[in-house]
Amino acid sequence: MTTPAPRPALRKAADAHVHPADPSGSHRLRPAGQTPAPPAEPIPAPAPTVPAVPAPRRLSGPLNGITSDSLRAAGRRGRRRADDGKLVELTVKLPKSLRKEFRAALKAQDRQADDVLAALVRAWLDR
Amino acid sequence: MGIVAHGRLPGMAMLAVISLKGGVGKTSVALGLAATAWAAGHRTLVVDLDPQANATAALDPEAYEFTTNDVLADGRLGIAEDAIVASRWGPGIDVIAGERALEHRAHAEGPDSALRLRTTLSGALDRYHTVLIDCPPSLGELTRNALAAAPAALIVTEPSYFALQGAEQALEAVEVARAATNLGLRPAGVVVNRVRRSSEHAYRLEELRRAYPELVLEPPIPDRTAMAAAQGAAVPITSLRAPGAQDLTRRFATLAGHIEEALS
Repeated sequence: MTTPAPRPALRKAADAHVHPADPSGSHRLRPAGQTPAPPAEPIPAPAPTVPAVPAPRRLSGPLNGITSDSLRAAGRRGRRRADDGKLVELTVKLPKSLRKEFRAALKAQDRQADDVLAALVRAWLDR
Repeated sequence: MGIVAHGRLPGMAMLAVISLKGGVGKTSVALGLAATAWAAGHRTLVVDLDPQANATAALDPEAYEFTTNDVLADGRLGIAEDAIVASRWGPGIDVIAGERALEHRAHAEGPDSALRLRTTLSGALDRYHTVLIDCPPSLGELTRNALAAAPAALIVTEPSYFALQGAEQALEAVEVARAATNLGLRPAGVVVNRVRRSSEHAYRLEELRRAYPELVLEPPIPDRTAMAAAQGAAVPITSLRAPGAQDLTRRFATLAGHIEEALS
């Protein structure tokens, strides 16, 4: 009868030093006792993207915003021209009913047609 | 404790101590029974299959290199012998330590994955009268290994609604494991642990007794600070002289006797 070869001693498991919370230590993907795969390259942080330069919001004039608040903020006494440049005339044609409604709203809200229309045109250009 | 199991020492008891709910004191019961068996002169081994390794900390083995994680990763017949170390409780009680990395073994790794503990313990337990396997509080591959290796499963619960459900699920798991991997497996009983004097606990305890009249083991184990003190000092509960510890010692001795009767 031959003497059986001595049994190799127990060794530490290949993943004994891998923290269970480390995904590279998962054994569902490989047989036990196999050397764990090297940790995957960490996913690089996304390069900071250069945000598209938004059109500058014009805050210098009281009526250059596009919200109703900015329109409301401009009272008669604090009113300034929508633009510091030279004021020019712009002739437009509107339906008579719309002009009537517009005038009534200007009176009720103590607004000037020039200021409101300049703000609307600016908002339309900046949209 | 005494049953003939897997052809080892006559009278050897091997129990998988399980609970599918955490925090019921499963490890405390395993340690209490280990202390009782050891104090009775039985050579005792605790196999720590819980990645939290609380049983290992309480048994406080001297320097050790290998754990149940290494044993299960290796998987060779009888290799668990190499991982057995002496507990500092004293001569006659040993441990196969657990460790956090056991989480890596909590998933199936091939067709014989659930049989690794049984294979590795084969031939390594000949000198023990009592073997207790402390399982994690879940039904993963570690618990499946314990249920495939042990001839009996001891279910630990506490008198609460959720724990009741956990006990029911644990009993189902024992049935499934018996059919799948271990035809000799049977429930050793249900230990009700951490019982306090409250109407809710009294109600749930009675509910358990009604649901499992033949499985609930007496006496229930009260929630006592002596248990935490023993674990914190890494000493067996049987070595403490405080009245609470003495009461627990008596209860665990009675419980061990009832487990022996249940399995005989």
